Amino acid sequence: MGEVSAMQAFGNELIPRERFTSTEFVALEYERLWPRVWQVACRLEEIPSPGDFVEYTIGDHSAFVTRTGTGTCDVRAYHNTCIHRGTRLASGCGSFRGEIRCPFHGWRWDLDGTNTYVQDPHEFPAATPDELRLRDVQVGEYGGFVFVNFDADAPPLRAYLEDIPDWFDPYRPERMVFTSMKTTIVEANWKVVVDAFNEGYHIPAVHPEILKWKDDAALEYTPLHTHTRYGGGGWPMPSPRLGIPPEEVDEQEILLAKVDDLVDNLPGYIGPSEAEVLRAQARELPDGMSAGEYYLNRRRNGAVARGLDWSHLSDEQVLGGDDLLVFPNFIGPVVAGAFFGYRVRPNGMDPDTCIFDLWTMEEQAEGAEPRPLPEREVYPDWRTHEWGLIVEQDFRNFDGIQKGLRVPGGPGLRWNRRQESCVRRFHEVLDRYLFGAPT
Amino acid sequence: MTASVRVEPSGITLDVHDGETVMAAARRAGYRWPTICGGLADCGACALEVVSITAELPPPTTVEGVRLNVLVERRRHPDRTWRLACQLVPTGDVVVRKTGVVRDT
Repeated sequence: MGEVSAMQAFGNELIPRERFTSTEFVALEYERLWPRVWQVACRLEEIPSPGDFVEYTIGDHSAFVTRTGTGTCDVRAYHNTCIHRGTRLASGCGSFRGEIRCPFHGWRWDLDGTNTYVQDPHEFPAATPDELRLRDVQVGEYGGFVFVNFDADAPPLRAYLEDIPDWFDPYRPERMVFTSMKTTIVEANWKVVVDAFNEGYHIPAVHPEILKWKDDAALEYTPLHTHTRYGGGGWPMPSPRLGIPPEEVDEQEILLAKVDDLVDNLPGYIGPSEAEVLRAQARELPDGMSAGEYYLNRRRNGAVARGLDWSHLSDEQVLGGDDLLVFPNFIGPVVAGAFFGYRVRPNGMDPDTCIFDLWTMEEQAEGAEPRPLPEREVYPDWRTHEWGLIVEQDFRNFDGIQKGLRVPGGPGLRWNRRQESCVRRFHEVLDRYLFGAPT
Repeated sequence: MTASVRVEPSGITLDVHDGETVMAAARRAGYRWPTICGGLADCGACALEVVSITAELPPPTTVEGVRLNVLVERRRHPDRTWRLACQLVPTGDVVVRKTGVVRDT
């Protein structure tokens, strides 16, 4: 295995494969990336009442996020380790019922991290209240997402997010609620997964069906300073790769293909409150109307009927939305009314697998009764669950990518200029953290 | 012996040689038939709808059958007959429906 410094992507035309396959690179990420970046730990709706908690782990790091009061931002996060003998304090998710209690010797803390009980305190005469506090992890909230950062000196979340809110805010992430929460293990390095969802260049080979309605050539790629965005190309029309002359395009067929594909093959991309209504409407395209006009019209009218205000959203945001990467590991398409988010984390020291969460969310009207939190589904093997054709096509692809990357003797990888520009940006920013690359 | 394939809505008529696929016949005649995978039965972009036949068509090969099973058009119109132009070797005259078959320029 070579020196990790030889695994830089920044400034190289050919990209070293060891970035995806070597345990040294995994170790470098644990040392220099994960302890320093903001990461999505949970949603506010997962901890609605004081004392509710969610544990977030990344490698050996573990924090738990807990609600301390009833205000939106009354949330704190602590290193998930007892200050006495080191025992983990929180596991998975649940509620502390008033106080945090160590299962080993019964020490307790209030939700603000102040110690309230030490068994036989005269045994610890020198310990000050400050020393007995739980150790804070930086916590921040954006759009209902609770982020943590293990670096006490990291700049605040809002500064870290840079231009992400400019792209995400219009969709009102703070009004979204979970419609599904699924976790599985994928047989690929976490960056293989991020890279695959960070471009549309793979659509023709991996998802050829959607070319009937998806103008993949119209996707625009917007690598930002730290994060990335791509989108556009939402108007339902066949990909120019199919070469269908305009006079032969059947608008009714395109509309049906788009709506059926999204509802059946990417379940959750269109929220459950809308999906079947839209599907029924898609069967009745009025004469002389284009698929795009009708799709827009039905979606906008449906939103009004559900009490949602989309008047500020552009047609492109209602048709196709944006694919956002919140560096380093939270990525997915957001479209008017719904978000289809993937969170990806390395799986211990194994460079060949990763922990994959799929979170689907739907926008709710202001003041609506919150939808109950869906069951958390965990599938140790993704093959034991039906994810929808499009996600399964990606899962099958990941396995082959990782196995291929490990083949000895393969040359360095290459990214194209435009359609893989967000992939390149992601790796350049990664190198900013790992190697101090001047990105 | 050759079979003839008439393509709607363009009205193009192709002469298909013995043992030749519909896509190969179209290419030989100077037409571009929609495909992404280049004729490997991978993408489904070449799928055609069979409108009428004069002789029974040979059954789909295994690879064609696998791809037809996930074809979006077939799920939507299971009552119609769908085949892949890159695999179908017609043995009699056929009328098919396929958009996007154009003169290769």
